Amino acid sequence: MNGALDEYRLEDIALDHRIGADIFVPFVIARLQGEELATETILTVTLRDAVNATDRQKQLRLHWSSYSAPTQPFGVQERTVTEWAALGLACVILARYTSSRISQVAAVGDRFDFWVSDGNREFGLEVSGTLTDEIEARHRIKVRQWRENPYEVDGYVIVAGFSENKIICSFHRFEEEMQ
Amino acid sequence: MNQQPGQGINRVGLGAAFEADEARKSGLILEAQLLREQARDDEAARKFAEAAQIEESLSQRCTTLGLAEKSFLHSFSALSLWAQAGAFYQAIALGDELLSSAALPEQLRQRVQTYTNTLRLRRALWYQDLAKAMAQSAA
Repeated sequence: MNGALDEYRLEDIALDHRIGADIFVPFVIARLQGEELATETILTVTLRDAVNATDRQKQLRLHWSSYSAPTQPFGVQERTVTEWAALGLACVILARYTSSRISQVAAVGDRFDFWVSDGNREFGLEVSGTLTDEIEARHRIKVRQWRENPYEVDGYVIVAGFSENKIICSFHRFEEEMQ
Repeated sequence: MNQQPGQGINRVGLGAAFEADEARKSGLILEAQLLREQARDDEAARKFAEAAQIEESLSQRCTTLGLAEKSFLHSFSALSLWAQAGAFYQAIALGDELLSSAALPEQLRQRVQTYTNTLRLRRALWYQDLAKAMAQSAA
């Protein structure tokens, strides 16, 4: 594991991605701040290159303003809070560790959540969150889902596990994985 | 993470105005999804419909620029958004239009076919329910 601590300011997802990503900020805080109303946390991020079967681990200090915390109930189910918190963390991880940025929300039926772009081409991004510690199992399920995309594009799969503040971010090439 | 993806949809040549519209429709979809989760269905449907109209425009602009794959992507999204707005007619019409294109990739063709078939089935069931409910309320 790399000993250095990476940093990211949560509110910057609104600047790094052009999709109105600020909507995710209070959901992320709701899942990460705990009862002591913290304004930062340490995330363990696994950057997985599925093509070369390698993992790298990073420690990420994510911080936010107390003014960004939710001030009233969301009025949605708890699973929605978890999923939207994961979507927000996916914005963080992409911005901090890749050169890709979210270009647009995907359609129901695309089999992933967002389109991401390197400026010239667009790829898939599937995201999920879980309150359990079964993050690897969830990640495998989500990779299978991404493989069903009808455009046959390469893509990222990001899964956030909120029980241990762990995240897996993996990259996959469609053709190689379908062989 | 320096992995550079390879197989993707070409978006070379799109200008700032196009990207602004992509961003606007994405914001609308996220807002609509949240409203739907909050059971604010009328507000959600309005935003889904507005996003669908933007998607149709994006698709047409991609066709003009010769970006066929990206045009299909936006058309399929428009289909999905009209469906989420509750507009069966527009969604199915868009699906039929997509299916009439010989250039539509096979995997996407199957997905569009399944989607439009499902919408037709749901529309028939919905109308049966509506007719039954109206008959009961009149009795």
